[in-house]
Amino acid sequence: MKIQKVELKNFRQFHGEQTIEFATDGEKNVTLVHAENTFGKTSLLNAVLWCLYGQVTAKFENPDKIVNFEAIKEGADTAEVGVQFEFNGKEYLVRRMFFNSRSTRDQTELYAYEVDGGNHRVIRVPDIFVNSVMPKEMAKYFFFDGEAAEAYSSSTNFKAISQAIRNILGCSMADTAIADLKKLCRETDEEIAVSVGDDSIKAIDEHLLKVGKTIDDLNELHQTRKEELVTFREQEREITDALRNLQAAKEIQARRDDKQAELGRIGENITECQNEIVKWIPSSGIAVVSGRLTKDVEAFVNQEEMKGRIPSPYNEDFVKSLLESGTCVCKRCLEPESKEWKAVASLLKKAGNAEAAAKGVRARARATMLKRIRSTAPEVLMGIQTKLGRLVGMRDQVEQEIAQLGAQMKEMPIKEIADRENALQKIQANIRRICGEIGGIKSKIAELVPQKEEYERQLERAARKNKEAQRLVNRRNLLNQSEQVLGGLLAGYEREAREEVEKEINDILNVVSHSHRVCRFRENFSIELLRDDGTLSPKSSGENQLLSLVFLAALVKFAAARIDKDDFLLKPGTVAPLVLDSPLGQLDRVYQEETARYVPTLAPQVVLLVSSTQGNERVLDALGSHIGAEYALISENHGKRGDKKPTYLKRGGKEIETTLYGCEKTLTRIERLK
Amino acid sequence: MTEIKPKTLEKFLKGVMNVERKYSNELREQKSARQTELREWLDKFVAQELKSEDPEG
Repeated sequence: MKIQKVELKNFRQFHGEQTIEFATDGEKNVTLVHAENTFGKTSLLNAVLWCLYGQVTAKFENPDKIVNFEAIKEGADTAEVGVQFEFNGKEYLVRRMFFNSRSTRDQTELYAYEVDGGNHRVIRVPDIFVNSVMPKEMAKYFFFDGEAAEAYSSSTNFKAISQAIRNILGCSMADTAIADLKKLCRETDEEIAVSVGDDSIKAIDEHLLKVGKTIDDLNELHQTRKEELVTFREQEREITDALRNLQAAKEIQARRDDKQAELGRIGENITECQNEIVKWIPSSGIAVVSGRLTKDVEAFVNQEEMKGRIPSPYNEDFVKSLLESGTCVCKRCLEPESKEWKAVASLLKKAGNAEAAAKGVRARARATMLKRIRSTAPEVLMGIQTKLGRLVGMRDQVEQEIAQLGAQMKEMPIKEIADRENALQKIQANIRRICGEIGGIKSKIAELVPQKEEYERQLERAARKNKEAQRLVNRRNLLNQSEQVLGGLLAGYEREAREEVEKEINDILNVVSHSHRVCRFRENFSIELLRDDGTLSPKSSGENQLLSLVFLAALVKFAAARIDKDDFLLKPGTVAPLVLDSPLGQLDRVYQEETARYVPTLAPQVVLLVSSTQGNERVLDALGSHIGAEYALISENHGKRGDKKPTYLKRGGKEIETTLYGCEKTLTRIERLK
Repeated sequence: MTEIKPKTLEKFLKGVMNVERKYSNELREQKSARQTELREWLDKFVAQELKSEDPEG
């Protein structure tokens, strides 16, 4: 189904006849309607819903005041909405009229036509036709008030979520069948008691009816108590989470203290490293920068050695002692000035003394040490620098963690602790009471079921003697068992649908959400948002709206995926325009942008009704080339402007004034921009 | 309660759902011929199919 145009006549703010044509192109599939609050966004969405189904959303106030008040002043009695659409290759027009002067029972009239060129062929039963195009129970998920979307993410709204999944799954037909089988079963029980003409059978049947009714009542009560229990458990969970946050405040503070101590230790280590570098400069830095000098020293020492000065094979003192003693080591006589004496005395030129030798040894040792230091010093410095770098990184990380902990502390609702504790105690008392009641109900049912089965056996035995009774008992068995089978099958479909919708939600969240969160359905159908580590993530109002929108998007996709499903129990899915009223209101700018980028892919036709805070430049850029039609709702007022500030819409380099004063009438005018 | 064969139940339920499908686009609050048609299907089915389920039939 694709809506081509909506024609309004004296419907709410829309005075006179006004038309809005929707984008029907496959690529440019978005119709954007700009309107400030109270200008008529909700009225426009409800105009379509009201026309097709005679129903409106909860936000549509005074649903019995349909006719435009200016038109009433002019004597008009009727309002009218026409929706022209394409469905399965044909064009149709559905028109609903409202008669102000009629009684509530027949205040509206619905017409449907097949449009063939200029000819309008009347469709005999318009409401059945509309329902066949898009089942009424699915419609509310396609014509959606975004501001109320949060409702789906509330933890206590599991019934609305469960119902939404059932509606989109197309359970209504099977639900009706179950109700019909129950009704037929009751009628059969009554027939057995009345029409068989056998007192013993009648007596057994009456017992059976009585026990059966008591069990039904108890089951109904059990269901009610179970739902109450779920609600209380959800409330308990919310409060416990909040209290856990308060407990978490203490934990956060303790963690913050630990982190501060860690930061101190890291600071000390950084100072130590810096000191090591300071020490390294004189001890090792000199070796690194004096490589040339060390080489020269070594060369010098070697040269001197070569010259025999340092160190020498002949010690000066030793040579002198030989000359003084007059005897050589070879026992020759060393007469002064003799050839032998001169030979030994000449050794004095080459001989070194101890001081020179020690200096040489020290110079060589120093040069060797400098050489060694030079080879390892860069590595040592690099080690210190790496350690310093790591410590600086750790310091930054810890500082960041301390900042995050501080931010978390700011969100702690510490003042509420006492109130919440009290509320928790009351809820837990209610839970104990309901659990006790449920236990009592279950034991009563457990007592009655064998009684019922015994009566059924008695009835079957007694019925064998009576042909009519036998027929009715067979009928009763068939109806009972069929109802149970149908219920079991539906429960299985529901479980599968829940898994598919959950998967779809997570796929969409991956695209539109800038924080990594995983959505999970609880057993009772409430939605929860989990962090990576599986812990529950508290939802902001923006996340609530996003989650509801994503849930809706998942339903729409699920409905589209089921369009060709041929199942004997379920209605097939549907593809329909998605009309969203204020869908981005509570989202932050990044979410707005990402959601806007994703919305055009949700359905073949999307209508977005946005105020200036939502239809900002980033959103419009994100919608980009998908905008096929664009409108502004202009508020015209009879009264004077006074001190009121003008409102403008900036589009395509133009500034359009959207609130006008001193006009002939007070109304909303639809102006096409694109 | 005598247990009815799954195939018999399936056949009956298909008939029930055919009737439900026929009237599925009606609004539930409207009066419908649906229940009359269901009753007819039920009686016909019991007469034709449940003889074999009858222990003495």
